[in-house]
Amino acid sequence: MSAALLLARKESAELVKSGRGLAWLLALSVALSALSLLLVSNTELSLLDNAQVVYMVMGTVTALGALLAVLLGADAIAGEKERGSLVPLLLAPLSTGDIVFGKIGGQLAAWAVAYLIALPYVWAVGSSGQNLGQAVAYLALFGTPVVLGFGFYALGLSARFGSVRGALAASLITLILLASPLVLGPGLRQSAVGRIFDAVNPFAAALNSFDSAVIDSQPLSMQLGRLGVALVWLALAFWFARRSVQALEI
Amino acid sequence: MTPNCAASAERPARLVDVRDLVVFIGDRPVLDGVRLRLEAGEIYGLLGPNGAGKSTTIAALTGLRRPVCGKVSVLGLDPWTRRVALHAAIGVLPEQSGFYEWMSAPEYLRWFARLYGRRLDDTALRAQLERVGLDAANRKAIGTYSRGWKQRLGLARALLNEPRLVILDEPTNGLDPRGRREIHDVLLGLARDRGAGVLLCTHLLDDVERLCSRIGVIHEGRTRFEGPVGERLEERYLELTAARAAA
Repeated sequence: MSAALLLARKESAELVKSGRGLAWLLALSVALSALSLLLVSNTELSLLDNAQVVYMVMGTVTALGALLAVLLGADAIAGEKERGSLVPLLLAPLSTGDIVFGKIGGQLAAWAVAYLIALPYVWAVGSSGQNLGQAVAYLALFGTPVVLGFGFYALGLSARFGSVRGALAASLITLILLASPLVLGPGLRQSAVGRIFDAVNPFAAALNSFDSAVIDSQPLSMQLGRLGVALVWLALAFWFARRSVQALEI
Repeated sequence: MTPNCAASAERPARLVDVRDLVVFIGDRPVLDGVRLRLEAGEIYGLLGPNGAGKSTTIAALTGLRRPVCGKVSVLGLDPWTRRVALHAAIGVLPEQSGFYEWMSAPEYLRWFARLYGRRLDDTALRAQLERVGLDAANRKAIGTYSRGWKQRLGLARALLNEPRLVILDEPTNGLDPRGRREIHDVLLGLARDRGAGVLLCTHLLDDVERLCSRIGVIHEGRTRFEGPVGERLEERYLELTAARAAA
């Protein structure tokens, strides 16, 4: 087994055994339960149509997944440093790539579990309408690069800051800025600044794709540009994490 | 401050060969003229008061801190550029040695062994634990261990890959007299029986007198003395580490 995979398994086991991961996944379930209840009530009262509700759940799941990735990423290097276990890890025969992929492997496992937890909620709000299959597929296709990109980014900041608090603050600010399309009204998003922001923002790319596929039933070929934005974000965040871990000095 | 990087002439390879080492943290020189030579089968004591630069020297030797200038060669490798190859061949017990406290000692050693590409069967695991005086039947989480037990476990981890060079930063911290004696015996065995080099970083002069054949004294980031342990160690050590203050 490769060193990166060994590290990823350790990270995943740590999430379960330390209780942190379970607590966050429980919080995710509670948040999705409350949101779903609210949205189903709105659908029953015909205030929102079914596709709109599915779109909102998908956006929220992506945002919560990114938040989970930020929490784990900020702790990945700085948390180990604060607990004193980073130096023994760095003294093991692990390359920079092993450390980055190993750490992100734990986050990928957490996102996979979060995704599985989200599926019943997507089904609960969207089973009576159309495009449920697209919703499930698009959440994986666009949610994964966006979420892992935030994980890499927070991991890079964690290596550079050396403090969980600092890395968490900086990555949360970035997350809130990039996730702002969730709260911006259509008017602001149609302005020139809003359009430019939408064009380069991975979070907006994911949301616009959810909108386009689930509400407007447009095909995947229409989403390739947006998928490109999400993948470029993932690649840039990976590069940043790798450079940051490579430059790490104790 | 501008570092003074004098070129050094090539010498035959040793386990550790450090000359004119300069390390900055930020724009402050933490090491400025450290030298150190360690041969196979030798136990070398790296001495110095708190804040002298011993741990930074170890960080530079293990590739965790990039030197500004000077020559650093460990097992013939440049630690900064050949980190993975170096780490596969050395064992290190750092001063700040944290653990995954939710793991048991056997789980911890097995996991680290696999990072070195080794699988520890029950016999090998028991041997590793008993070598440092730990009970192989103890399956409690490491979080419940005393400081001395953790220190022993850290030493067991450092010896997992049967290293040619062992670097230990304050290895007997937190150990009772019996524990100290047991660790001394392990280190003497490594040097005498296996021909490994041991770099022992400590401020316990008793440990040095019992174990080391040569010492280096670092004070304020510079090597003040390098040579045999000799007589009147405590007196000489105090003189060497007070020299700058008196000047």
